[in-house]
Amino acid sequence: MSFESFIHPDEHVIGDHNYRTYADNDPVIDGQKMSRGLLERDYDERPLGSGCAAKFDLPTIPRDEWRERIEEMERTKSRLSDLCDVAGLQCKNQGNTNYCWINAPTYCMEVVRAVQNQELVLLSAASVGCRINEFRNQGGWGTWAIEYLSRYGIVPESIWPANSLRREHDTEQAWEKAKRYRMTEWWDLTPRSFDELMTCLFLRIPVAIGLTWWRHEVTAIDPVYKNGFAVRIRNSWGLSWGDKGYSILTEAKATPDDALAPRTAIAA
Amino acid sequence: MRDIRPFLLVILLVLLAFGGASSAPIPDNGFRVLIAYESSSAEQQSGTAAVLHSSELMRFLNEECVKEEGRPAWRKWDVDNDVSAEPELWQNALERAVGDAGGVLPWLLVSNGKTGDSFAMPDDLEPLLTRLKKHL
Repeated sequence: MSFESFIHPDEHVIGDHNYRTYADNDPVIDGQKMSRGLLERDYDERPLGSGCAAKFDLPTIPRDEWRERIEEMERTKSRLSDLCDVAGLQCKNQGNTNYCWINAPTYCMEVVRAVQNQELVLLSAASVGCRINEFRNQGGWGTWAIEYLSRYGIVPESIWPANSLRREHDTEQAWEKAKRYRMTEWWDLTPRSFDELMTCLFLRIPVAIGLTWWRHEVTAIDPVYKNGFAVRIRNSWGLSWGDKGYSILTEAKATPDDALAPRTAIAA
Repeated sequence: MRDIRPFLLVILLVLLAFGGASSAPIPDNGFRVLIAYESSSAEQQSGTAAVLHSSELMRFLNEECVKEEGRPAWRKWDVDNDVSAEPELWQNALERAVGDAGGVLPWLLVSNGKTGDSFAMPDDLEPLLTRLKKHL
């Protein structure tokens, strides 16, 4: 099979050959320095599949099927990125907050809602970060965020601006509204399992992937084949980074140190 | 002999009132579609997934479905979704789809308020669109 994925010229292709450039620098985009904020997950504190998360328990899709499936997804325009484009869902922009670990699960939730034709409502990562970190601009890991999203929900950006750390937004009414935006089911993927990650993407389930080499968490959105298997991600650095927030990570760089795949959110 | 015509009239009225509703799986005016699926199905074949998540299908539904407060009246729900905050019309539709499917997913309900259909999702997009268009 000679098929290879189309990569947009604006997409970064990040692999072993160039990852240092990305690992060592926080970029300045549209005049603003971007932050990251991933802390390495403590699996002793939050073991795999603990809390409300379910351990990934499906058989993985065999690698010898991957290339054909990727070709079909691209030909039929049935990738999550295609659906996001039709739904008009743009990427997050965390700015100088250290909340990548909230932005990625939040974006996953927005994608799940878009796939289900829920109303397009942008959700405020800062509302969750402020509650978890007592209004401090600090890093964390995705499990903290997703547990909060499941228990209390998340406030829409129309009530709590995306990156605002101001206490005035933290009202009873805001959190009453947040109950409508709760995650209900997700998988906790085995760390360093690229096969589980790809299986989720073939099932059109977005995955928030924590990458220790980058100290960053992003959303994996499409499986890709280009000189080997790879993953299209959507970052939380606004539309000017990559192709409208999209870029490519090769298998070596996309293999996640922790990964969460939200499957269902409350329909409201 | 007793005149049975009033009884026949009552039966006719009942049929008119409820017979139409039973042939419209989502009993409200306008073109509506519900797709019920299982997001955690490992058995999902690639062809089925390509139809289920087709952006062309999404565009078609966005254009053709009646608008409910500006939002096209279609839903694609995992059968485990918590839909208790959705209107009763849609909750009932999901319940009916799950019942009709009998475990065969993905499953579709299409309705225009007068007629409709309830069927397993085909593996190709064209036959699906043809079947949906019959109820426009």
